[in-house]
Amino acid sequence: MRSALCLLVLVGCIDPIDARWQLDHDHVIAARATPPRLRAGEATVIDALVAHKGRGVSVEDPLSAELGSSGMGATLVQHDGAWTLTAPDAQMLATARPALGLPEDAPVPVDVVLTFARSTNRTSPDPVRVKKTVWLGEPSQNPVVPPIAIDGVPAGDEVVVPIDRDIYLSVDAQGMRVNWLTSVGALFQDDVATSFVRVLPEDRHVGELVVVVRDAEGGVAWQVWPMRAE
Amino acid sequence: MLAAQLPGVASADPQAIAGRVIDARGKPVRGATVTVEGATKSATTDALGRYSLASVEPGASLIVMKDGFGAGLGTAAAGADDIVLLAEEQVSETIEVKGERAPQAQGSTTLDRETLQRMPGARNDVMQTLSAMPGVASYPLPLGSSGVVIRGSSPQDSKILIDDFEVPMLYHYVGFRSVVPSDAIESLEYVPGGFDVGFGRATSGIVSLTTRAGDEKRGQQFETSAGELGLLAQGTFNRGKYMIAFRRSAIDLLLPYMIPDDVDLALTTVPRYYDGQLRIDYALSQKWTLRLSSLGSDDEMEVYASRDKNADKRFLNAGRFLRLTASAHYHDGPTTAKLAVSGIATQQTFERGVYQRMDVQSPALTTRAEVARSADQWNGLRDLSWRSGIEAVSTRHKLDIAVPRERREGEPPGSDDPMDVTERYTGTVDTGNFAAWTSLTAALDERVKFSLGTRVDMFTRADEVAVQPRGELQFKIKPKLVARLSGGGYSRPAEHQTELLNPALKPERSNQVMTGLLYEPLEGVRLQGSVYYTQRKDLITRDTMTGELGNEGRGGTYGGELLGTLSRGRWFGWLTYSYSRSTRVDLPGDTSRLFDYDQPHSMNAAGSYRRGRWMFGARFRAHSGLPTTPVVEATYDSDANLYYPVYGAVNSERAPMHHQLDIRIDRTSWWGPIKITQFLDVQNVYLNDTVVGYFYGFDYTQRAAFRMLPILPTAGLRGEF
Repeated sequence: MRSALCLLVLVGCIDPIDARWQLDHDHVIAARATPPRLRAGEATVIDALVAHKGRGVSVEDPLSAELGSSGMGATLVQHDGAWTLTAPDAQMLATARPALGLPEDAPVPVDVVLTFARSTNRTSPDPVRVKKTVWLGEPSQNPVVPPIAIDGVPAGDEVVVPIDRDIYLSVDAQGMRVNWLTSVGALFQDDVATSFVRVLPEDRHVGELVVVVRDAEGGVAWQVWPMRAE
Repeated sequence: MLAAQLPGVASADPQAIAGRVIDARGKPVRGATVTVEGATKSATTDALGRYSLASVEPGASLIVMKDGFGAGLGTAAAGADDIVLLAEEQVSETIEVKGERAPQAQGSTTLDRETLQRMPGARNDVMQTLSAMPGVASYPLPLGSSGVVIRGSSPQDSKILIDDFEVPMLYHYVGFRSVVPSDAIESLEYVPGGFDVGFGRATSGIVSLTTRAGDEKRGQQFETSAGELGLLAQGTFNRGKYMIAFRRSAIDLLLPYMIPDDVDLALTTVPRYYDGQLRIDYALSQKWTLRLSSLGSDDEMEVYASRDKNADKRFLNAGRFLRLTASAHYHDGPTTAKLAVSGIATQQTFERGVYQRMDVQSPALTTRAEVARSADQWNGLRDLSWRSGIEAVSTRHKLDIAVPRERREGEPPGSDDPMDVTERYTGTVDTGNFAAWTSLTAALDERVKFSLGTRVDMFTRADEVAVQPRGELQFKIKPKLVARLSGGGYSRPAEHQTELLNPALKPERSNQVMTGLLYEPLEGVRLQGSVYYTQRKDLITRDTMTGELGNEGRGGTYGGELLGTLSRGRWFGWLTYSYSRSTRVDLPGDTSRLFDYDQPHSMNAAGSYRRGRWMFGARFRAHSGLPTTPVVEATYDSDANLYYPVYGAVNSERAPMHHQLDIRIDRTSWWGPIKITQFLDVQNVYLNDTVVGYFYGFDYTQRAAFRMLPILPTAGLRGEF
């Protein structure tokens, strides 16, 4: 899409819009089920990393959660703001598999539709709708964010980058999908393991850097750093 | 021989005029005869090239003759400009005012090369000139992959023919320049509908380009403009003529420097194109002529949407074709015949990231034979012309496809998932299309003329036969005013993109009816007004529940068009206005919606004036924006990291109306034996950056307007020797 847009720029002009790596934009970065896959009768807690324009990122509980069209007997309960999904018993999962065309012992997917406040105002009438799939009948854990390097140096507690220079960000995330996001400067190659950031003098100089990794099992993990350009 | 006229301008009183005649180097021409056209008055220039004439109507045409020079033209005025005479050896073009042949169908028109190159705002390009045609949807980006949108129909519903045979693409990917340069074209015939039985496999219109035969006089030319360089050579040999042309893009040499450093992009194969044309005409005898022609085009671009060239950010798009045609033309009194064999090799390649790819190779062989015979009288009919023909097209499509589900007309774009390969196929599909046609044209008397014909198409893949009767009635109301009424059936096979994968699809069909007036009050002046209705049925649409394609769609277009053309002496004028409304019903029970390229209003007004070595032109155009489908909300799939939009009613919004003014200036000069023509064509001179479409941001909460370039200047230089 981006390459197409770049070519279009050659024949016309496109008004600026926020890129998907922009943290200074109200959106849900990733929803997480902990754990993402669970045995019959076990429970998982659902939350998300959310970006808010002008306020940075935060881990939030959904405003609401409901099961997709085929709930497979799972139950959703909210307690102290946190939403918990509990898998049905093994017999119910065994019954569900043929109906979904799944082989015996295959994990059963259940879609959960979540809503999050679009802005910092949690009573905003226009919530963000997010779909998260939880897998029932087979256990697994969310991945751990692999080591990150900033211009070849392991990342510390804060990311400090020079102004007007390309700074490479890399994560050793074999077999996982990667997304980088920031509210400082501009990111390039934001959805591959090696990205780079450039901060111009006129850009915002203080904000955050986020990396999100997703594995093939539905697991997700993220890490957030305060970021500064000087 | 030069003969030209200016429109009558004769309201002012006669007066004395004076002026000067010079040669191309600015030196006075002595002894030239200056004559007032249509009068007996004349004068001879003195040693300073001066002349004077008494009692001449201002605006009258002056014809200047002098041995060793080509004829010159001037306009009578008290303070007239110099009249420039070109030496005979410098005069390579013969300007001749001749009657245009009647348009093939109501609303159709034919443009010669000079007109194509004269249209302001067209940047010397056929593709751009097409946008000035009545009934053609105007848009700054190509509509569809290879064609034009005519009278509210999809691009694949119309045919692009070059020398009678179809080509798979009309324009290059870069700059949207046509695959044949205007210098290699003899004429462009635009038939928006109601075309005769000789054309088929199209349900809307025809754009037919004829390549240029070599001139009697040997010559070469080069041209550089709009980021490309072209060469052309022509001439004669024995009993033959030849024309060979080659063109290469130059934008690829400039593009790397035009892209800002902060764009996340790496150009591996900078977008580039080549095209070439060859035509050889050889007179075997007085009755037989052989013609060999070849057309080719090659486009390629490879882009990484990342500076580090990650494989999953790669985007490759390539398209090439080569067509070879051999034809024999017979002419003996009232009988003419044409036999042709044409082969084409095409390849379209698309690769995106590591998952999506498409490689389609479609070699095809076409044989075509047509015989025509005319007679002055037969059984009470006059001016008869009978025509019959047959055609066979065999194509082998080699497909290797792994792409997202194809977006069809009326469907909003899906989510942009680089791993989506819903449509997968590897194999071969053979198609065979056979056609036969016959028609009779005759006059009942001085005023009434008719044409009746039938075309039968057999589409072997669908095992369908389409019988398409077509006819036209012409009634001469006055000597220069003709009314025309025509109607007919049309069909096209289901062979567009993924339609090939479903052998159960039937051809799409349309029925067209149109009527109008053709008025030619003066030589070189033509006015046409038309109204039409096109009914479409068996349209190929997707069942939203199953995702399968079927022939469940229907639709219709109605509209009216006005076309006025002026080509007299130094003047060229062009005025069009089109109104149309085009709707579709995708599935039985669905509500009617607007067609994707529905454009209710479109107008073009262009004019140019030649004076001496200068030519000045301007074109104003205005047209409705195209419909758009709004996004009303979106759901984020966190695991796929994709947003899935929810669309509102299809084509329920429309981009704003657009208007712009283009200007063009040409200057001709001589540099020794080389005739140099420089031109400057500037589009959108008053910087109207109208919104022509919209793009949504990654989460569909922001909508960005795609605007016209505020101004687009194109300079060019052509040398002929």
